[in-house]
Amino acid sequence: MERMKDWLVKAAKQIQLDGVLYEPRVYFDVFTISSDQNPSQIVSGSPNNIFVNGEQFPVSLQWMTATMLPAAEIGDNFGDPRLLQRIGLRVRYHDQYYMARTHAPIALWANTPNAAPAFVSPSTASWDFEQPFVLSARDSLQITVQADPILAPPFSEGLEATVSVSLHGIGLLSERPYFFSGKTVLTDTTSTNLPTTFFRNDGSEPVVIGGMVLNGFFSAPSDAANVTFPASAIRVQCRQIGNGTNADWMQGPSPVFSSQVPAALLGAKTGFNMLHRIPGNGWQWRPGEGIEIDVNNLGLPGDGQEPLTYRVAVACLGYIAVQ
Amino acid sequence: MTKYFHTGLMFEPRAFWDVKRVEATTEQQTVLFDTREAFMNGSRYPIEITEFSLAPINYLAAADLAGTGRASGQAVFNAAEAVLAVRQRQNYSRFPIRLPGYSSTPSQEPGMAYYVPQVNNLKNASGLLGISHKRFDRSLVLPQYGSVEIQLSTYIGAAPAMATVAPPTFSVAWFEAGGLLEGSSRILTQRPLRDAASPESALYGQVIPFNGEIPSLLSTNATFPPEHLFTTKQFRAQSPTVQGAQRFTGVTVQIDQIDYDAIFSGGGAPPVDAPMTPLSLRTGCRIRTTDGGTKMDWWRPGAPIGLVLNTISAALTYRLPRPITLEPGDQMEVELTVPPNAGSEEQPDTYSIGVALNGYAVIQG
Repeated sequence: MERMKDWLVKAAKQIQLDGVLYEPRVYFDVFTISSDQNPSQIVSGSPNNIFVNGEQFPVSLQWMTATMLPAAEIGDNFGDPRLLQRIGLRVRYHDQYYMARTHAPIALWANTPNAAPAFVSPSTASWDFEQPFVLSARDSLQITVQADPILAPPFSEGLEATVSVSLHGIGLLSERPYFFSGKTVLTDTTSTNLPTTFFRNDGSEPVVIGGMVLNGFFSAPSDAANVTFPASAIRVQCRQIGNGTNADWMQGPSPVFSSQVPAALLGAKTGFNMLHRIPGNGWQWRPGEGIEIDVNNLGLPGDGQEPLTYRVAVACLGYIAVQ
Repeated sequence: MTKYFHTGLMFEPRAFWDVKRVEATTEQQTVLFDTREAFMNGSRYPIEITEFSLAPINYLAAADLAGTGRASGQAVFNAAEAVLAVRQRQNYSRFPIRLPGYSSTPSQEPGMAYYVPQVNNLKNASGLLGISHKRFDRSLVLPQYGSVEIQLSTYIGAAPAMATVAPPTFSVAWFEAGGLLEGSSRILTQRPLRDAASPESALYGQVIPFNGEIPSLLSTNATFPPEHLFTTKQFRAQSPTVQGAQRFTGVTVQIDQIDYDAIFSGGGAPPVDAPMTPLSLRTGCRIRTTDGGTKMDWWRPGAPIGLVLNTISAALTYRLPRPITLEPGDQMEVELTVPPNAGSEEQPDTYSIGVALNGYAVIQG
């Protein structure tokens, strides 16, 4: 905790000095793969260039994450998150491949430990921002959460999930800690805005926000109450109200999927996802720059008679630097 | 990159390891890991030890069927005490070090035990990703056409009778620095992982628990079958189009045991109502540079993968506050004091513990 504080104070001072405003950014896409596709059938991303910096300021990315999403065709709805091991992933940039020309199983990409304690791990995603952002006095955050629409049937049968979003930071002047936290109970799969009062900086100084945590648990049915609700089934979107860019932090394949990111993809510190630290200083995208990501099937199981369809989500996490 | 060259030193990962079968008794006992020269630096180069890893080796399940948790061998780490010493010269503590008194390094991958309760058939799965990853403390630098070879052993305890599923598979990635995207990898994708045809050809003997005949999925009598080798040719074929020496930052072995876990958890015989052990704690490995570097084995061949590729693995890893340097000829002494462990129906007589001291060799000239 002391090191975190030192880091935040140093970052806060840097913000005061360099005049650059940082804001988190997440670029993500969802790939649909059928178990009857062979490895040579490459599944490309959504058509509208998701992994491209569409803003007028440079972006720096430090992490890649991936998670399986709930699957409608699978009886238990939530699916098997281990099937990341059976999907190949590849990045392309100016005809250079990363990590290799051959699609590597997504699990093989993991190079940073991110396990939370076992009993909260599946439902929690936490992210310590590489560069903190400043929540000025009277500013707030608009945070939207939603359960994955594919889960509409269990929600219509009485499933309820409590979802919380928390951010933490320190005062730019006082260096005291600040905590902002809001929660809501999802009773269906419609999109819900958390009240902005949860996240409003009512103090007299700017707050440097260093990280965010998302969590979910079942509120109902009663036999599942208080146990983990997979973070892969929660979607979230966030933007600052007041200063900052006021742009959405999460850039997704809307309207093909949704611009809300599956929360499990935010597990760059702890979570239930594959976490890959981008080597060196990360990737720097100038405006208009980006990468292409494609995946393939490395042995996803069918149900014995019919092929099954799976969805895997992949994200790049970092920050935008505005000057 | 220049900073890695100007010292004139090169670095290669190293580990000293041993696996002991310990008699289960009702008395506390001290176990000396005494395999001949297992912890001796027999090379020409000093070796810096940075981490200490422990794991129960060669268990089928991570807890016993009765749910006491004892038979897995895991439980002893809650009460074990360790002694690290250079005989008659240097003790690193006056009394045995109580392991629970020190915080281990976060190195586990997410576990499946608390995934959605409605999906109970997954709660006993061995893990989310099935990986063992080693991030090199010091980068491994190889000449432009240098290469490194990794080979896995077989494992024993294939499947319950009558199971007809595909064998587990393994993949390997070598992480390399440099290039347009700051890095790349050399990859071996999904090869079947063969099992040992008999306990005699298995590295760590019979799997625990042993319930009679265990049919194989894809067996061989070779301890290190040639099909488990990431060959020099395959490695070189993926050389990036960059000039000069290459800097490697880590290596990962991934074992896909999804189907394997399912045959024990999904109603096969005998079913195991406990989390399955990752095969990385039942499978050994050997690694050496074949062009460039010392061309020596990085550790005594056969080290359990999870014990030596320990940045993310199923082993328990402690990072030393400062490295311990073993000069050529130096030998560490490793003792573990384990609590009473009377055994159980599934694990009647013995339990099995693996220990590794991980670090790197400092190579000059």
